Amino acid sequence: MSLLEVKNLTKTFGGLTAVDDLTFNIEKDEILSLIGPNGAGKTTTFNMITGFLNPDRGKIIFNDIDITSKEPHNIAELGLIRTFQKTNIFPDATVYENIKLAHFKSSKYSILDILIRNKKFNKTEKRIKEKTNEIMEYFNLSEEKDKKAYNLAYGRKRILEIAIGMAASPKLLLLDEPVAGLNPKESKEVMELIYDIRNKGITILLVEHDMSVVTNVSDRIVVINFGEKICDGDCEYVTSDEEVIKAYLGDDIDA
Amino acid sequence: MNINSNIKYIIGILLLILLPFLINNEYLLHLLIMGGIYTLLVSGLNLIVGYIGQLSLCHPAFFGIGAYTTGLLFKRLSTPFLLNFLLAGIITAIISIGFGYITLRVRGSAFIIMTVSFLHIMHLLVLNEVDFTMGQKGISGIPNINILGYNFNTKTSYYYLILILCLFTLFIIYRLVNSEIGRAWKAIRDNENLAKSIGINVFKFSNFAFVSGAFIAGLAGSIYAYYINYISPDLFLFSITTTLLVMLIMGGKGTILGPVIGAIIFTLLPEYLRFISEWRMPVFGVILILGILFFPRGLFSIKEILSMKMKKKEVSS
Repeated sequence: MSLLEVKNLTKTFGGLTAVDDLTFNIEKDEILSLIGPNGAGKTTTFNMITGFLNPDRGKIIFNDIDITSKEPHNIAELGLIRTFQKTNIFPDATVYENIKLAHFKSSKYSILDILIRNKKFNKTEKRIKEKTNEIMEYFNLSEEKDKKAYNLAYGRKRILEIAIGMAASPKLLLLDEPVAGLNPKESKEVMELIYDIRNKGITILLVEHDMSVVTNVSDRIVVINFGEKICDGDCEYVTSDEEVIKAYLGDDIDA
Repeated sequence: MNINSNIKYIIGILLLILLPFLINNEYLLHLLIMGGIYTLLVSGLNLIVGYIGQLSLCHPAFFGIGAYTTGLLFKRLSTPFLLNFLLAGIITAIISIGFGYITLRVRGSAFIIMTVSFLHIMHLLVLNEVDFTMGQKGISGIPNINILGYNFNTKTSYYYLILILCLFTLFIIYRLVNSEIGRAWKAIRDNENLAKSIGINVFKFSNFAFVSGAFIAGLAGSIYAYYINYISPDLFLFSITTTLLVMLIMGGKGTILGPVIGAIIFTLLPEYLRFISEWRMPVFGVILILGILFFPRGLFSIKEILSMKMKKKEVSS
């Protein structure tokens, strides 16, 4: 059984078909990259999987549960956590608070627990604090703990974004162009981080338009162009596929 | 909260308890009672404006609904205080659930316009349903509060009642804000999409803040009706919205004590400017502009600003 199954997904905006009959799946513990040139429908696919957009047709099944057209928070509740293409953090909160906020899912108590602050409340709060520190340590953010998030350097913001995703205890982490705008050194660091996260038992779906970034880390690559899947396979297979080369380089080059 | 700040709060509360004996001035006591009622209103409004980040302009409507529930219950059914008081809160909350259920699906200007409309609709209803609400005449003759035979016939007794209510409300808000609920509120305010994607039900938490604020406003309205003994459709005027927003923003939105400071100062200030007679409102306006210019995040941020200046000095020296 696959962790995520996307079946015949279709989305049109007016007359434009952004995603057309797209089918692919993600196995547990793999890093799958969804790539394609700009405007290929990657982010639209992403938004449909995470409930930010409703598909016109098709089905999305996560962990044996049909999540098609569910609300984003319900989908997050199930362990499918996303990041955004444009950096998305809580800008006015400190780094520490950002990560603490993201533990929302793991703090389940009633209003009564909150008002009288019983054992359950204190225990949960303590656990969240510990987990927050752990995550800051892991992502090397401890030194910038008390900095307001908007004050971080761009590269650090992108790391914080992934840290927020991790704090929300994902089973499947969807990263939308996590290295966009980073320099080669930073981007290599992020990719190593992603590889390491996978080794912790978290499945990853990576969206990227630059193929060279993902070939080193991906177990499998799905290539889409104009909303349609044109190739699905391991890195070697994909990079030598004729249609993929065409999609990236164009096919009307004069010989 | 460490022991040091605990002591600070205990001293503050003791001072508030002793205050009626220290000031011995009926008029000032009346203003403090009104300041207390405004504290309740602004603290409730703060939940939706300060923590969720949705500008609600219909808060006086909930105050008015609470007051009218109390007034009408007394007039028609002569029910006792405690029942009227609780029903004022509950009925206001129920109405706000219905209204929030429709309006909190949208953000920003659409929400703002709907709240203004709601306030005006309520005002017109109260004004024109003369048979039910007595229209422009209002409801007079609401007696003083009577709890189990004890009659609240002095300003001091009302002062203590409001004080207890304010402390209790602030305590509950403090606990809510410093919990999972408060964190969800702030997440929604700072970045709604990210809040959704980490599993926060934005609609549910916005509604909870909105309804809590309305419930508090309903209770405040009930106390107000008993204290002033008279209510009129003027409770639904937009000018009250303005007053509440001035108090909230000048006090410091998104903080717990900001609304208190704002409510007290902006209840007292206009009264103590009466000595300049016709210059009162212009001067008040200038004070407001200067205030917002120098403390854009509210008077409550003075401490923050001062400590930042100290730090800067330390760095430069």
